[in-house]
Amino acid sequence: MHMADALISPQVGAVMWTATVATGAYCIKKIQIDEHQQPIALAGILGAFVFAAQMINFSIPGTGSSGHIGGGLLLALLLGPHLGFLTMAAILLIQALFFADGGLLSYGCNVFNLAFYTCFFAYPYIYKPLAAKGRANKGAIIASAVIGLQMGAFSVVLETLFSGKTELPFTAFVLLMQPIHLAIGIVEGLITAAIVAYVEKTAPELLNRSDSLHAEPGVQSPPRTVLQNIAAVFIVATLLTGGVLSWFASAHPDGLEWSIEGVTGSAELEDPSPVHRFFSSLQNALAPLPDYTFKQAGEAEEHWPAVDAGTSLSGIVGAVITFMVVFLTGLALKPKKGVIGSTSDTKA
Amino acid sequence: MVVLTKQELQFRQFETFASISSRVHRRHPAAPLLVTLVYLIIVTSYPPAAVINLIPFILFPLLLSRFAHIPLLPLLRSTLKVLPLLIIIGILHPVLDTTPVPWGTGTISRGWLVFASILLKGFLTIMASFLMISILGFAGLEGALKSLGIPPLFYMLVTTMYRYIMLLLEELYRVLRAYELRSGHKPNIDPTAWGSLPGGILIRTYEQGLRIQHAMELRGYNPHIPLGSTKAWTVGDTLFTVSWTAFFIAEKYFHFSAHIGTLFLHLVEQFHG
Repeated sequence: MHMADALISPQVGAVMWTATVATGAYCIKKIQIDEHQQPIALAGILGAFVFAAQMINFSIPGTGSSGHIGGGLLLALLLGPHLGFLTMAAILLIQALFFADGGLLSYGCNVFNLAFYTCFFAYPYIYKPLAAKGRANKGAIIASAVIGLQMGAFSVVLETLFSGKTELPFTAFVLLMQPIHLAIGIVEGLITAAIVAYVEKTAPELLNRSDSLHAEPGVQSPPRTVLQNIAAVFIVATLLTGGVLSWFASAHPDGLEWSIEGVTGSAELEDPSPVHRFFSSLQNALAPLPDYTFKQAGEAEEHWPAVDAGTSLSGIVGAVITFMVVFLTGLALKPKKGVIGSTSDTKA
Repeated sequence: MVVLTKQELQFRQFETFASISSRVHRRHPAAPLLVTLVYLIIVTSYPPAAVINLIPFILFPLLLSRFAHIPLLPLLRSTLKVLPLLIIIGILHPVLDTTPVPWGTGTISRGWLVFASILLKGFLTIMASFLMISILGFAGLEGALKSLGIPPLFYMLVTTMYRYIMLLLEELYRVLRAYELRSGHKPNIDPTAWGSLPGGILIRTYEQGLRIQHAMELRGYNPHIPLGSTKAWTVGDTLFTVSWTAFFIAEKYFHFSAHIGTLFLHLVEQFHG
């Protein structure tokens, strides 16, 4: 899944580099380092292990083929998401420079596709809620590996599409990438689960270190609340709805448009005011994804389901922005602790 | 499993090239890194079906390897080993895009042009990256990362990892060879050993790594000491970076090699006329 420089444009490369550098800076801020640089030594050793372990071929029963580990999830499990992300970034740098396994310009894309989704999505939102308290759960690891890899593979398709270097149709590319990475994800999940189970049995202290690496010394991280778990489920559901289910959105007018059409004979109001015309033209000029899809030179025949990158991106971007607005509004409206405390004290 | 020795050889090959003494090797490590980045940006900024316009960019790896006294053949071999991956992605284009486009006196399918462009871009970018690491080596890379303001945590992580990879590759090779011999020459690891074989290596590597780390600390190791010598950026480094960048930009935006070609053909025509 490593992308080569030849397949991406400098613009996409720059955007993904920026995203990777920002995530890396956030991770560095979060990691606690002692005077002996212990986390770095540990991460270096485990990173070297993952690098070497990627060369081990594991036979897949009944297929005659073999698979190997990706490592992102294993590192997140052993080191925590922040150090896991940085370690994966270091592995990808060595792979890119010494083996041309991924390019230098596409380095940001590769770090994001192979490390970000596993460390910052699959690990906290899939693995952690699913895993049984206090022990590594096989099903949770497999589910995390599959979802992390599916997101990475979809990201590869989008980055290639936006780069415009290949002219593979979006649908064909998605149908090529997702199923193959589903199989790879299951195999990777099984191998990772087997390694974790072995380590848990033989050297459990290695797994227990991960949480202490990114927490304040002496302070235990609080258990996940019901609200956090609900939020995780909603995020997954939103991304799925925005990314995939939006293809099945009806091309027919919605209830309001249908009603207007019944009254005026047209789905949109005719002869709007100059103010409406001005803002409408301004919106069309500024909207990067008008009508929830990419701007197109010619009109194409309508298909249902409309499998379209623009629709997916619009859905995801829209969902993320909505989340941000709701979250920030919630923060702004949240009463201060002191206020609640003083009220309850007064009542008491 | 033989792939492990190939990986080791690849590391050693680049370290050997990095130990060559040349004017290019004496440059500040950030200079070749910056020049290579500009080269990659310019090469990949060409449209999907560009082929002819990319040809002048072959000059960069050719000339730089000559100036750095690095033999081209091993780099070429390493590059060609990676190209099949791009062939797999590119080969679909001639099937999917059969639009005829003018080519010389006849026409050619646009898909073939896109395919050729992907291969050429892949060849140029991979070759340039390999050449850069052949000039820098690992110590140079660390120096370049440091001088470009990369946080110490990250380059220390890369350095530690690189050091352990060298140790681990040999050990892993021995473990896999032992498994191969005991299992009746099975090329892949059976599901019964999916956990125990890599898990055993992981625990052993971890314990060994920590022992090494402690031993180094006892002998006064300080992770902040750079591997390579710290060089100052000189006027020569500026000239090196600016001249290559100017060449790339001139070629991309002013097509100066095409102008030279036209001028040459014009002179030949006049000479014969």
